[in-house]
Amino acid sequence: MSSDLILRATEISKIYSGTTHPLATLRHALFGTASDVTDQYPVLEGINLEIRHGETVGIMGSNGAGKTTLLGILGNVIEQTEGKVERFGRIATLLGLTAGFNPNFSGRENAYLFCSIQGLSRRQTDERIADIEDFADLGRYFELPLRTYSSGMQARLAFASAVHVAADLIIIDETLAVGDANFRMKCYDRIRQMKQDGQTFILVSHNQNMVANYCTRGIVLDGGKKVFDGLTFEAVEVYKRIRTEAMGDSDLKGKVLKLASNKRSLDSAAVMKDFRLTERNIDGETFGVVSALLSVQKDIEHLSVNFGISNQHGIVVCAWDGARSVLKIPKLNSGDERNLEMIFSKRLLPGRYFISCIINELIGDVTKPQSIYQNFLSFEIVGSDVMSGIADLNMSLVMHE
Amino acid sequence: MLKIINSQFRENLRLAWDLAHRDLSAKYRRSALGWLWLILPPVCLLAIYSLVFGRIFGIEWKIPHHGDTESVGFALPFFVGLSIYLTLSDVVNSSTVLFASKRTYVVKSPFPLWVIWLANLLRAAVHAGVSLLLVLTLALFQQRLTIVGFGWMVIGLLCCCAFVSSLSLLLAALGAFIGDISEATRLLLRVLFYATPITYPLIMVPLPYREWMWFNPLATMVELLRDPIVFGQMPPLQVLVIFFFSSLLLFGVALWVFRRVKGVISDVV
Repeated sequence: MSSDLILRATEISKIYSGTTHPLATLRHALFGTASDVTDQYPVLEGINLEIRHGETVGIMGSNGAGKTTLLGILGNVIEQTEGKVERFGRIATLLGLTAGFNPNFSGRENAYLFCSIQGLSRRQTDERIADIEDFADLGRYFELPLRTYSSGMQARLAFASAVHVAADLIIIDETLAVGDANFRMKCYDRIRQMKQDGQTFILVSHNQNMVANYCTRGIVLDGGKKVFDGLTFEAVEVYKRIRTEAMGDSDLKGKVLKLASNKRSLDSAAVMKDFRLTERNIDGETFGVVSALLSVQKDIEHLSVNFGISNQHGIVVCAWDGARSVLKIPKLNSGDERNLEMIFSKRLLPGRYFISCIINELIGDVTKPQSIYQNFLSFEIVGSDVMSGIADLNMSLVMHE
Repeated sequence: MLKIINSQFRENLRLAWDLAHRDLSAKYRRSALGWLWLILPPVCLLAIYSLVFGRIFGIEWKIPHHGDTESVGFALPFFVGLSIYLTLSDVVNSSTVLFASKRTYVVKSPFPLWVIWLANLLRAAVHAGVSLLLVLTLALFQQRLTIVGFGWMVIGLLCCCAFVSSLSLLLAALGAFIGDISEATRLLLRVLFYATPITYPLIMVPLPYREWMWFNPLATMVELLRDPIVFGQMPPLQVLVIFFFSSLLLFGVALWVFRRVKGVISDVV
């Protein structure tokens, strides 16, 4: 056993028993008769994990990947179904924002309660309370009942209490996402500073930037399994890939295209199919071309197509509104088919981009969606990382004598 | 390693007391009378029952083995029974819904579940302690308390504590799964109040039924404590011993059930 080990989890699994038949759950727990327990939900399977002193471990995963359950088990809040967790030190757990806070107590009393739950004696809390008050920066609200707080203020109190607990390992779940920008900044600063002082953290976040910036190690969970454990940078990539796969694209190299399963046909008076993404050189500039076959199933007076490109963070890079352009598609009859090409300049910086489009029927000045294809294509731009961001603005630096 | 476990155990004890203290202060925080509410309910109940059963119905307790001559009145023997009843119903009613009502602790906080159970017991113990002080004050005032009686009372109290805390653990563990328990016990407690010699002496119960009284744990507890406090006597030894071992058995069962189900309680509350 290495001396700097704080926590070791061996082959832990968690199966939630369903709540629809609590009696069956009880019988199963008491006598181990599994036959009639039907509603069981495995959320974690065979997780192995070691946390050492000084590490800041980020855990990423989509909703329902088992992050919170894993943290609960590591923090000794939830009992694992199988496997074992060994802890070699004090662990402070901040699951959910206001765990154990009482709305009728003041901020100060709740801070005491929080510290007490985390295992500090009253005297130890006395030594810290001034720091907590100072950090939470709630002003006179610190002495008022918690029920008068906004949710952001509650988060501030919770975070301030958590980072002053002085544990060997602090486990934080999704808490930094609330509060205003200033306070978040303060939290990040505090984490950075504590990291420098050798504090060990486990952070859970949907925010991959935060993980990338603050963690020394990244873990990715998917479907209850640990799919990656290693360098933060690679972990973020793995997590991104999982997210895009969930969106319906299994190919990472771009170019090859796949019709997403999350196509939504509404009235489906007009649908598109046979999508293809190609490149075309026009006047020396590279354009991306999405070609598709538009097929009409009923007579439509006016039709317009919207399409747009967004990046991996969901930011719309550029979107084209067919209804506002002069290019409206004139009357089409049922059974008609037309080849469409959606053309865009590829003046983009390296990263992954997604294409969406909508077919609208135009009735007067009303647009009525017929089919929606969300993020149905994706492509990757590769290149140097001199510039970062979204748009390639051909930046350069020129120096004159 | 043992040292770590020991310090963690003490930490959990401290936390249990902390939580109990918070529960109590949260309860009385918004009232003007505050901690006076610990005393008011038993005293008011004592007053009204003494009026109805003592004065109007004329129920009173006679000192056993003294013929029918010496009476100890209604108030003290009744108050002993009432205090036990109030304590038991407090513990039972809070235990059956314990883990559901403390859900945030169960699913979000890193301390063992038994701390919640212990915190609830400690909270109830504060109420019970206040009642005990009132009972002892009344007994001293009526000059019924003897050294021997006090000694047997302590022994009886220990047995009652063992029984009540085991029952609480069992109900808390099962109540998390079976919602009917909390409803059923509420009803049962109402029945028990009259099915137990609290407002009347055991001697008033017709003989064939009197034997059955010992199957009622509340009646057993009441008699175990009433004998030493009111009459300064040793309670029936046979009853004491059987009750003690039944409590141990109940504790074993409760512990077994609790250890089995504690892992899945957080799934069902």
